[in-house]
Order: sequence, then structure tokens, then C-alpha cells
Amino acid sequence: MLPPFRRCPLEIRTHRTRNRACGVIGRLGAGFRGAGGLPPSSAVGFPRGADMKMGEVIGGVIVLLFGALTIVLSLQLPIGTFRMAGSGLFPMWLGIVLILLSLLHLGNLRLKGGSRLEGEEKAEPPSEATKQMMLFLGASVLATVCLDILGFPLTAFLLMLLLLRILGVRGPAMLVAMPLLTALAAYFLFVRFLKIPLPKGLIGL
Amino acid sequence: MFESLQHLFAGFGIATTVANLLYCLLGAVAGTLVGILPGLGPIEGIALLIPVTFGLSPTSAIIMLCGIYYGAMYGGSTTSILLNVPGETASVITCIDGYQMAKKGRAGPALAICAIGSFIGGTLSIFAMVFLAPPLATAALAFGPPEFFSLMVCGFIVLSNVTGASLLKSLMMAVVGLIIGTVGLDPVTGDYRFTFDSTYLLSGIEFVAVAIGLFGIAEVLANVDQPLDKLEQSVIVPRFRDLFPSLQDLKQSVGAILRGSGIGFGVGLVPGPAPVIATYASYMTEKKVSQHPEEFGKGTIEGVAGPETANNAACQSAFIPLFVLGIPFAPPTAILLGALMIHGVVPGPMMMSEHPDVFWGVIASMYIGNFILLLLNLPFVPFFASILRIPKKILLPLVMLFCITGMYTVNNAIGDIWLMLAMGALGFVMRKRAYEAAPLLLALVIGPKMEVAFRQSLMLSHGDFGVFVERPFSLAFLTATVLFLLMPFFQFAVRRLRGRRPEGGMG
Amino acid sequence: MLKKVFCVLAVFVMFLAAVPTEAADFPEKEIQIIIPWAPGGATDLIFRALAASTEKYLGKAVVIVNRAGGGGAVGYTEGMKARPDGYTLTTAVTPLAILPHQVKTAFTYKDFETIINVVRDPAMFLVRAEAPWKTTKEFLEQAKKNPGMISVGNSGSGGGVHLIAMAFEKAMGVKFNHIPFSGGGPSVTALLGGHINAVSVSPPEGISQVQAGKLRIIALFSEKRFDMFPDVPTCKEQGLNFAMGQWRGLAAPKGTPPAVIQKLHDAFKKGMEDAGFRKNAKDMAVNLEYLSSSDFAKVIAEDDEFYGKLVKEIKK
Repeated sequence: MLPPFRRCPLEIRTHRTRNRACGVIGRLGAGFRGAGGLPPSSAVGFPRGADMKMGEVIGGVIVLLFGALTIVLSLQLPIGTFRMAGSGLFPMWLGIVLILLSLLHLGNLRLKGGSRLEGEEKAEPPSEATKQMMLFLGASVLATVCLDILGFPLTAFLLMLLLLRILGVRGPAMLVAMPLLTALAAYFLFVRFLKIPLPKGLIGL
Repeated sequence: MFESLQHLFAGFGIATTVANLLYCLLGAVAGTLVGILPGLGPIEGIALLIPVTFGLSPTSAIIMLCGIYYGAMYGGSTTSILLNVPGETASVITCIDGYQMAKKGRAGPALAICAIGSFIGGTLSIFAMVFLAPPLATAALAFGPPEFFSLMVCGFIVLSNVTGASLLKSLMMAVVGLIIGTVGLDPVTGDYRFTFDSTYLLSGIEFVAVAIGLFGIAEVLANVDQPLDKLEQSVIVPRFRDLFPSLQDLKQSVGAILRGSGIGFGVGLVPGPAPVIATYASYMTEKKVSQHPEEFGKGTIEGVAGPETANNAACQSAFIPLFVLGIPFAPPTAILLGALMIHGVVPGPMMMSEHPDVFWGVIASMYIGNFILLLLNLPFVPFFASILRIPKKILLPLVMLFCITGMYTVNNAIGDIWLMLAMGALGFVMRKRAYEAAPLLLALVIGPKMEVAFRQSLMLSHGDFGVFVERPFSLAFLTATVLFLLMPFFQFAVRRLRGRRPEGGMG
Repeated sequence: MLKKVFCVLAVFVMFLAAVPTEAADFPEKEIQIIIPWAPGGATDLIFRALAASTEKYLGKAVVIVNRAGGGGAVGYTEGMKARPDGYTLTTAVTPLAILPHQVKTAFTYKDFETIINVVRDPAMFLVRAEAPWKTTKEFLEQAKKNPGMISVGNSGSGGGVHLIAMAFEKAMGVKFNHIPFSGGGPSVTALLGGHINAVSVSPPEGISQVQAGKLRIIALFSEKRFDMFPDVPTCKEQGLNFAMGQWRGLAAPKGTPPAVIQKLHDAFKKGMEDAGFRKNAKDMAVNLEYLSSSDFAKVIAEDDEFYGKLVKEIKK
């Protein structure tokens, strides 16, 4: 009996691969919801081979689209001839090659079926872990935004605090002491000792 | 040749004065620290510490700077092995097997073998350099744009599937890497490509950001993507005797080290990012000659010994064009050239005759520097290996901060951090889908150079494609590439011809 | 919960306390110089040496920051946007006057206030020692007879020496085959290897090879002869009216107070006159040429106009 299907905040139809890296693949996959005529959700008894195959197909399609995008963008640049190559010549051909390769790949998948694919995917992972990862990544993103506003030492301190908290560290000693030490150590090592500038916030640190 | 030996001994005399030894040591320590920090590599290390050397005599100054150079190369492998974060560009391949070894509790042997291999590779390379420098440098000059292009193509095709997963997927990643490499200023026409009016993208996609993101950040995210109770279980705490390489390890590595030295030395002579290419080439070679190729990627010691040795050997031989011709082939040597000039030593054909004390003193100190680094690094191996004992809850945030900080120090651009994080997310997804990151990185490094060489060749030949096959070296490389591509077909044909002996699946 | 908030606040206050208070004197902390190219290049070397020698006259550290990319565009854009308080300077090199005409940049030379000019280097063409041409005139004759056949390398498309080579072409009425390389080093290497016929460079590129006798200066685009190579005639001496070079100086973002600029100017002038720096410059074969803030500004304005016209003509 498969674990209950967890609602992903992005409300994507097909859940299997979504659960894995909900936001990341979801965002990409959202655009291709209709791409392969994906089977309805929560298919109990749906063979894992085809499950992986769907993921593979999506992957292949994404690469294909990337190649197409490259071609489109390259055409906006001067192409020139081989004698006097313009900037767009090389990327355009690369885009073409990429499309060919992804078509080959998709064709391969068709032929071989789902059994031969390398997979590491365990059974439905607990989405708790995925949420954790998203938070972790989110905190890092937030910190990057804050770097120029709050300056390095403060941001480093807050980032460490957040990350430790996400991973479940609770004791106030560890929660405050570790980030403090790290932020200060990094500041002194880089800015004072090695004279490498680190982001200065609006407060001038 | 005998004269060279005499000079070398004289050089040793200069290099082993207490003062110079001290400078070498200082440089080595500083360089190691710098190399460990992700993002900072030998270039930054040398650039930062040039002012420190202003008061010293040219010989001492250069000795110190060379110490920094090596230190940085050595230090880069430490974080690759322990944290899957490439300390600098040439340590990317070390991440592959080195980190796997660390996960199995074998970080100690991995680190130790790195140090030992680097030492041997560097030493052999130095000796080869002493005796072969002038003819080699002249040979390196014969590399013009067409030869360079053909060599790059050969290397690219051969090395794309370095990690051996699906060839098709590796090639796809390689092409993606090539495409990413075109972003920025087109070096031939001066036009801007795919920059979308962003100042950040003008300088192109920063390799270090992609490397740290695809390897380091992706690894951190993959780790965090586990339930908390499982998180701590996956660390294997090494026993004390596991902290050092066993005799078995050493035996296995000997071949890899010797081959790595040769490969590194040869590749280092080629202009461009030679150390990176040398590591890929060595890894590939080790896989091909190994008795157990399927172990690669899971933590084999040859996969660490070979590339690291090649890396160091290549760094050494990169000095040859610098000292003999006065032309830097790799970015770190460019800055070393600058440092030399500031001190009034102009490397080039005259250096050997005008400043023999500097020249030979530096060569001797390279050898000593290698030795000092070995001494420095080995005792620290247990210390470094036990970093992995830190609970993941604390280690992972530290690594994230470490990467963000290190990344910023490369270009002082917040954009790099965004790129790194984005690549981290991408790398995470790629792992889940079994797409390899190594080919992408190789393409990112080789791609732009390959394209430039191609267009330069055509400009030189006025559009005549024949230029690639008319010149002997170029023809040789292209033929090798074609043969390599056709090899699977040959093997297939040969097997078919031998009759249908049931041998299990083909390929 | 309250305890945590308190902790965080306490730390915050602590950080605030570390912020230095305003003082009236300039400079009160280190100065940064942005170099819009990768480390190891000509500009980089010169200014690292200058930074080191000026530190003692300024009393504070002078730190070099490399911001390569876009042929210099990245560094200049950042330099333009920096706070006009005198703590972030940018090296003003000839591409500053060229880039805005080639591509759409966010900056022009008018976004900067000049401080001082340090170096003025002529450009030159080098050929291999065994090349058949002995004088500039012979070289040009061959070029006239075979338009587009003589390959001349440069350190990058649209860069300073490339444009100088093109300006030379136009002035002399010949046509070369320009081959771009990624920097001065590779272009000189290609010449040594015999893959190109000549190379367009600016010191210190190529100097050591000329000293060693492997390369020769076939055309020297300066007003007067090189101290290091007194036997090489300039183009002007041979009746060819052409002299072009690159200037390398310092600038600050527009709006920097004049008093600050004056202080910087004086400190760097002393740095330039420092014996150690002079020796460095001599060893690198760079030509020191001091220009005051206003003189430098004039030169840049003139060159900007000149290059504007040149680039338009070339683009046709």
C-alpha cells in the first residue's frame, strides 16, 4: 500500500516525481504537464519502470527545448559564414546538435522500455525531507538577497542560525554560539587578514 | 646536460638557505589555506600575496610565490575529498572518487594519496623539466590554432564520457556545457552573446560557480533531502588505522601515479587550462587500464591518485613555457609572470643567462616546495579526515556558508552566488535523473577555447577547411578522434567475426 | 522565544558597535582600485606595483580588485556605479574611450573624474627575427601588394591594440588579416611559432622576446624612440605620420569631491616618483608619463572623439 499522495504546493497532477524535488522539478514539469500524456495520479500498482521512464522522457524533452531555445536566440545574432564566423554560428549549430542528441535519447527510451534505465529512486520518499531541502535552499537564497543589505557578518550569522534550526538544532548555546563564531571567524580571516572584500551592507560592515 | 645538473645543485644551494626555506614554508601554508577555500585558487592566492613579497629579493619572492602556487594546488583537493566541493577548477575530478572514498570512511587514505601522488608527480615533472625544457618549449610553439583545435576536439570527444554513464547523456551534458560557454563576450568578433543586457553575464558564466554548484551545493542539498534520523547514520566514522593508506592502497596507486605523472607533464605543455584537462585524461586512462573499471565512481584509490598526480605534474610543466619562452600558458603562470616582472626578472629566453640564480633557485625551490607540502599535509590528514565526524546538522550549514563565502571572493559578484545556487538546484535534479556533471564542466572549460581556435584557424586560412588536415599534428589528432569514435564499431565487428560465442550482453 | 530574540538583538547591536564612526580625514580606511581585466595583464602589473608604492604615502592600504569581462565593460560599469567618496577608484585605460562606441555600455568617460595619468605606452608591430622585412616601409610595401594576406595578431577583437592596428591600416592604405587572440601572451606565442606574420602589441608584451633577439620591432608607433631599444626608428622618423598609444591612469566616479581627488592625486604622484616604482616600471619597459587631472581629462576627451570616428569608419 503506497503512502498517501502528498499534496504538493504547486498542485501538479502527476505526483511521483514531484514528491522528489517538488518545487524544482515541479516548476519545470509544470510546463510539460501535457507533454507525454502522463497517466493519472497515484496509480497503485503502476509499474516503476514506466515511472522512471516518464521522468526520463521529461528530462529528454527539457534538453530538447533548451536546444531549441539556443537556436532561437542564436538567430538573433549575426551568423556570418564559415570564413568569417559571426557570433551566432557556433551556438546555433550546438543547438541543432543538442536537439538531435535529445531526439536520439528519446528514441532510445522508446525502444528500450523502462527496465534498462539507471535509477536510484527509492520508494516514495517522505516529503518531510523534501520540505527540509527546499527550506534549506530557500534560506540560502534569502541570505544571498540580504548580503548586500545587511553586510556579510550579520548575514552569515543569520544564515547559519536558520540553517541549523532547519536541521533541527535547538540548544540556544549551539544555535547562537556556532553562527557567531563562524561569522566572526570568516570575517576576520577574509576581510582583515587576507584583505579580500566581502559584501558590505547598508550599515557599512 | 651535465651543466644543467651543476646549475641545479647551485640552485639547491640558494634555495636551502634558512631564509628561503622559511619563505617557501610561509608561501606553502598561505597557499594551502587559500586553496582550501572554495573559489579561491592559485591565481587569487598569488595575486593577493604579491604585495607581501615586495620587500624581498627577487629569488626569495619568487620562491614564496611558487610555494603559494603549490599550496593552493594541494589545498584544493582537500575540500574535494571531504565535502565534494571542488577547491579549485582542477580538483573537480578528484571529487568523483575522492568523495566516495570519504563516504566510506576512507578519507584519510584519499588525502594521503593525494599528497603523495602530487609530490611524486611534481618531482618527476621537475626533473623532466630541467633536462627537457628548451626543446619542449620550442615544440610547444608548433601548436598553432589548427593544432590546438584538433587537440581540443580529440580531448573533448575522448573525455566526454569520462564517468562512463550513458554516452548519449554525457554528450548531451557536454553540448549543454558548450552552449553555456558561449555566453558572454565573443572573443573573436567582440560582440556580446546571450547577455540579455546584464552586466553580470558580460563576463560569461563563471566556471567556479558552476563547479561548486553542480558538485558541492548539489551534494549538500542531496544530503539535506533525507529524513533527519537517517542523516547522521550515513557517516562512517573511520578507525584510527583507517586514517592512513594501507600497503594495498599504495601498491594499487603506484601505476596510477606513474601514468598520471607522464600524462600531466605532457598535457601541461599545451596552452590553456592544462591542469584540468590533465585530470580528466588521467581519470580516463586509469579507467581504461584498470582491472575493475566498474569500481570507478564508487571510490577507487586509482581514481584519486592518478588525477591528482597529473594535476600537479601539469602545474609544473606549465612553468616550462613561462621560463623558457616568457609566455604564460595558464592563468596562474600569467600572474606569476607579472610577479616576476615586478621584481625585475623578465622571464624568457634571457632568464637563464641573465638571472641564472633566480632561474635555478626557483627550480630547486619547486622541488623543496613539493617536499615541504608533503610534510605539511600528511600530518594534517587525520585532522582533516576527522572533520567528517562533525554531525551533519552542523557540517552542512557550515559547508553552505563556506561555499557562499568562497564563491563571493572570486569575483566579488553576488551574481556568482545566484549562479552557484541555481547550479546547485540543477545539479540536484541532474543527480536524480542520472545526468553527469563532469562532461558539462569539461565542455565549459574546453568549449570556448575550441571555438576560438576553430575560428582563428579559418581566419588564417581564409576559409579553407583543409588547414586542419594539411598540418601534420592537427591531422594526427583528428585521426585519433575518428578512430576513437569508430572503436566500438570495430569491437562489435571483431566480435561478430569471431563467431557467435555466447558471451553475455555486448557493451 | 523571547530569549532567542534577545540573543539575536544583542548580536545585532554588537555588530553595529563595530561600525567605525565618521571622521573628517580622508582616507580613513583602505582604497580599492578596480582593474577591468584579469590578473597578470599589463594594467594589472603596473597598478599593483603603484598600489604598493603609494600605500606609504597615503597611509592606508591600497587594494586591487580585478573585475574582468566584456573587454573591460564589467569593471567600468562597476566603477561608475561606486560611491563617489574616493574609496573606489578605477584604472582608466584607453578602452574606456573606445568601448562606448563599440557596444551599448552603461558608462562613458564622462561618468568618471580623472585623477592622474601614470603610463603612456606606444604600440608597435613585432615580427620574427628571421622575417624578410627590415624596415617599416618594406613591410608596408608587401602589405600593399598582397592585401589581406599578411596576418597580424592582436590581443582581442575590439581591444586597444587591435584598433591601433586598424587605424594604422587606414592611415597607410593597406589591408591586413587581423587574427584575434585571447590576450597579449597568446598572440606573441603565435608569432613565435610562426603561425602569424606579425603582432600588434603594447609593452610589456613581447619585450623580453625582443631583448632576446627572437623578435624584432618592425613598426614603432610612438613619438620618440624606446630607451631600451635605441636603434629602432619610429614611424614618424621614417616619414610615416602615425603615432598611437594607450594611456593608463586612475579615475574616480563622477561626483567625488575635488578635495578628495586632490589628495588622491598627490599621493599617487608621490607613488609614481618613488624610486622602487620607477625601477619596476623600467624593468617592465613601460613608459611613465604623468598627466595632471585636468590634462588627463583633456586627453581622454580627445581620444574619445577620435575613437568614435575611427570605430564608425571601421564599422562601415
